Amino acid sequence: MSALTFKDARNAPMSRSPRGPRRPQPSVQPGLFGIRSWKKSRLVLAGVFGAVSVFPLLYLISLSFQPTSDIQTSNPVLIPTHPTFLNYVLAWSENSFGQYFLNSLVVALGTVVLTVTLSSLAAFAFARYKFPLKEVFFYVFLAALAVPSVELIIPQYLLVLKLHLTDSLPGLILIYTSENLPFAIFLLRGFFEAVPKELEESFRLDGAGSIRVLTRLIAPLSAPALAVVAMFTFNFAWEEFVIALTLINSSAHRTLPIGLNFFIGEHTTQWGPLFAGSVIATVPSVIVYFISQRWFQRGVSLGGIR
Amino acid sequence: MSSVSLEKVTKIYPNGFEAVSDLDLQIEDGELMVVVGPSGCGKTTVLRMIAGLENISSGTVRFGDEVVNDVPPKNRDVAMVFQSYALYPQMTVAQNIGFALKMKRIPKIEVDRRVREAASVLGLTEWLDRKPTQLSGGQRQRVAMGRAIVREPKVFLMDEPLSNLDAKLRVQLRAEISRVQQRIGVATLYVTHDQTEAMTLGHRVAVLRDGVLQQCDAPQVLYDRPKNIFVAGFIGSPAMNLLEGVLSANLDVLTLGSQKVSLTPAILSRLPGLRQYTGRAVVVGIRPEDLPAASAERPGPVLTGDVHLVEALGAEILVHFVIDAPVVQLDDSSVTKDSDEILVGPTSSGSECVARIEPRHTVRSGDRFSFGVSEDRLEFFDIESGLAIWD
Repeated sequence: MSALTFKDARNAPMSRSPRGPRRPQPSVQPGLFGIRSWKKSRLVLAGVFGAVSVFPLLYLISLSFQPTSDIQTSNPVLIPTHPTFLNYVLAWSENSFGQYFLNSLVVALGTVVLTVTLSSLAAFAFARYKFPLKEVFFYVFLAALAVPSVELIIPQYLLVLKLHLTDSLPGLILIYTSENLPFAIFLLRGFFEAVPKELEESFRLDGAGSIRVLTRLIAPLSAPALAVVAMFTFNFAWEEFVIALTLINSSAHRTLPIGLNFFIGEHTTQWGPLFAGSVIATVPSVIVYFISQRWFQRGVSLGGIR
Repeated sequence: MSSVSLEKVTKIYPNGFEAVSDLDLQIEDGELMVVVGPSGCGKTTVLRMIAGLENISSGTVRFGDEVVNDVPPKNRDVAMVFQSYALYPQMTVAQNIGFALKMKRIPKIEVDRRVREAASVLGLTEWLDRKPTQLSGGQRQRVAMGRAIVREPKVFLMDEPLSNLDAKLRVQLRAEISRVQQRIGVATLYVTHDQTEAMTLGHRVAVLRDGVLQQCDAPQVLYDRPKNIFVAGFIGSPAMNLLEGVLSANLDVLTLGSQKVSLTPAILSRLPGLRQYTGRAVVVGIRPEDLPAASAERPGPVLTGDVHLVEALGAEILVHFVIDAPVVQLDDSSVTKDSDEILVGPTSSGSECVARIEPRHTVRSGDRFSFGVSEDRLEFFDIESGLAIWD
C-alpha cells in the first residue's frame, strides 16, 4: 500500500485544490496482477490493436510504390524492393482522376457546409425552443437513423429525378446531407442543451438575437460536437460509393470512389494505380481529421463554464 | 435612464403556480431597490419579468412612460448580473465586457475605451486578456458587474450577485456595488434572500412572500415599523422575538405566560390602535437589542427566562432563553432565512427568545436571567391577520 500512496502523491497535479474530491484508491497491490502489470498490458493491448489497424494502411502505401510485377508476386514484401512513382503518375493521368478528386472535394465540402448549417439550426430549435410535437419530430428524425441507407436508394433516386438533379453534384450533396442530418441533429441537440440557459439569456440582454445566440455563443461552445459532425460528414461524402454509382452517369460528375472503381476491369485490374489512387484518396480524410482534432481540444478546454 | 414601474403585475406559470400576485412596485430613476424574501417567494421572477426573460400574465411594466410588456429582452436596454455570472467562456474578459457594445455597433475604439474605463473602475485592468475560467470567484463577479455597467443601461438588474462568494468578499463587493450603482445612477433592482444585504444596500427594500408584496420602505422603517409579523420576523438578525401575550382590560398590564409587564398610558398615544385590543390576545414583538440586562439603574418592567445558550460575539452577547408564553406559530416555515442564527421556534417549555446584551454581564446557560423591557420599543400585531397594530 505504501508504494501505491507514494505513486499517487507523485501523480497528483501541483495545483490540486485541498478541498478537491480524493479519487478512491484501488485496493490492488502493485505487482504481477496489480496496477503496474495492468498498465503494461494496456500498453500491449493498445499496441496490438494499433498494429492491426495501421498495418493494412502501411501495406497499401507500400504496394502503391511497387511495380505491378512486384505486387503480383507470390512473395509479397512490405519494404518495396523496386520503389517507383509510376503508379501515382498513372493513377493521376488516367480516367480524369483529377476531375474525380475535385468532384469529391466539392461534394464532400458542400455536404459538410449544408449538413452543419441545417443540423445546427434544427438542433438549436430542438434544444432551445418549445413548439408543438417537438419530441415527435425529433423521434421521426431518429427513426430515420434506423433505416439502412441502401433501402432508400430508389426513393431518393426518384426524388432527385423530380428535382431534375440526377447526374449532378448538387443532387449528390442533397442526398448525402439528408443521410447525415439525423445523426448530426441528434448529437448537436445534446450539446446545445448543455449550454447554460443563463448564458443565452445574458446574450439576449446584451442585444443578441437568435442567430447570434447560435453563431456566437452556442456554436463556439459546442465546437467539439460540430467538429465531430463535420468530420463524420466529410468522410461519409468522401468515400460514399453506392449512391454515387446510382445517381451519377456522366464521367464529368464521377466522384473518387467511382473513379477508383474504374481501375478494376472486367478481366484485369490495374493494382498499382488502384493502390496509388487509394492512397491519394486517403489524404484529405487525414487532413480533415487533424483539423477537427484541434477543435476537439479547444472545445474541451472551454469546459468548466462556471 | 428611466424609472421602472410595475402595476398589478401577476405571473402564473403554465402549471398553474402563481409566482407573483398583483405586484405594484415603483423604482425611481437612480434608486437601488432591493427585493428580499425567502426562497421561492417570486423575487427572481419579478426581476426576470423586468428583463423580459419571463412574460407577464397580467399587469403592466413601464420604463419611464413606455410600456415594455411585449418588448423583447434585446430591445429593453437592461443590464443584468446573474447569480452564476453567466460569463461567456469563449471570450476574454475584455470581450465579455465589450460584447453588448459590439452588439450596438459602437466603433471599436470607443468600445476599447469604455471597456478599459470599466475595468479600471473595477480593478480588472490586468485581467482583460484572461478567459473567465482563469479568474477567481470575486474577479468573475467583477467582470459580470463590468459587463453590466459598461453599457450605461436604462435599468440595472442584479440576481443574488454575491451569493456564490465567501463572507469576506461579500462584504467587500457589497460596498463596491453600492459605489458603482451610485456612480452610474440608474434604476437598479437587486434581488437577494439575505436581509443583511437588503438592509445595507437598498435605498428602499421590498419584502416579498409567496409572490405578494408585504412591505416596501426604507430599511430603517422596515426594521422599526414592520407592517406585519412576516416582515418583523424576516428583517433583522437575530430575528425579532414574537410572543403571544394578553392585554389587560385597561391596557396597563401585558401578560406573557406567567409574567406580567406593566404598561403606561404612553403606549396608547404611540399605538392608538391598541384600544381595540383591550382584554384580547395579541402578538408582541421585541427586538433582541430591546431586551437589555435588567439592572437597578434601569427601572421598569422585567422579563425573566431560562438561559439555554450564550453566544459571546465580543462586542455583544446573544442570550437565548425560554419563557413560558405561548409560542407564536407562523403559518408556514418560510421565515427560515439563510443565516446561521437560531430561529424563533417552539421548544418544549415555551417560546424561545434572543436578547442582545452588553458583554460586561456574565451569563451562563442554565441561569435564570432577567431582562429589562423598553415599553416604547414594543410592537404589537393582530394574532389573526398578523398585521401590525398602529392606529
